Amino acid sequence: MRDPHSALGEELLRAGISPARVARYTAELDEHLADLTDELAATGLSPTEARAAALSRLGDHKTLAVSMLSQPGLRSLPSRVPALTWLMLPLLAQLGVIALLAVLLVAAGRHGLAPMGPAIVGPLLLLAPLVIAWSIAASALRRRAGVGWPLAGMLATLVAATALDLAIGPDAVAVSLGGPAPDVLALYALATIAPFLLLHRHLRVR
Amino acid sequence: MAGPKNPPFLNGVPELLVLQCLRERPMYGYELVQAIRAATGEHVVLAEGVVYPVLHMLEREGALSTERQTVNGRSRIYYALTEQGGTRLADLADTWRQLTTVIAGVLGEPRHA
Repeated sequence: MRDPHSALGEELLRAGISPARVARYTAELDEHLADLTDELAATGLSPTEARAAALSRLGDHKTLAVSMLSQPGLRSLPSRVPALTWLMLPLLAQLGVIALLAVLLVAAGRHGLAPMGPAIVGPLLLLAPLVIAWSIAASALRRRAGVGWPLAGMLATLVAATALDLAIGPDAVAVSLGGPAPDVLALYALATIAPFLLLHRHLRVR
Repeated sequence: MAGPKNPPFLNGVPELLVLQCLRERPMYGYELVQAIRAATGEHVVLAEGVVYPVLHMLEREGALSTERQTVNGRSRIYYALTEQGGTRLADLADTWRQLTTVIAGVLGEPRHA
């Protein structure tokens, strides 16, 4: 039987209700519908009549959507403060990763482990912006978020990763800011932003 | 069978009814709606699904706590009144009593020519 609340779930996601809350709401509605159908079937209605009457008592699509959307406190953080969630937090995460790795390198140098540093830190530096950008993309797609803020966050993260250089010497670590490396930035964008835009278009979000 | 649903001016009433019914014991959504129907003699008839956003909001604001249980193969989320919810219920009930007193007074006034 067709899920009567899948369209409602999609609408609520696009309106900024979190996936977890949407899942809980639709699951509660499904359980309620099953209980109501059982109750009405016990009065002698046929299964089809009982289900139709149960759906009517539960409320139509618009009523159920409005009742959730009229509670502003139930909107998710990304829908209330998109700039913070999609742009500032990922950017801070990227800068945090660079700062953390720099501190680790300094500590390793002090303990005579400096030669191993670049081999460990190099791949981490390379992977961190990819992981952060993919996280933004996955979260935005799951939440059916619009393309603007997540795209800005991904771009900012990738630009920060390619503009900030962590130079590792035998006895010193230097963090420097330069222009973003265009070839690396293009590769990053190809690996993260391009699939995000394609999937976003496929899901026809907003 | 349910009659027509109550109009928008009853906003706020579901919250009062939910808190009052949950004062007795923890309930899950369907059970709670049946309790409201019984308590109001079916005079307050809402689309039954609208109770859930009210429950979610009350939980978020600390007036209710939840516990998930599986009963007869069905997953139930039981809602229970917290201490904060008890205070909120008392405040809402006071406001409602004041309002009904005022409205009764207005309706009881003699008509002017």
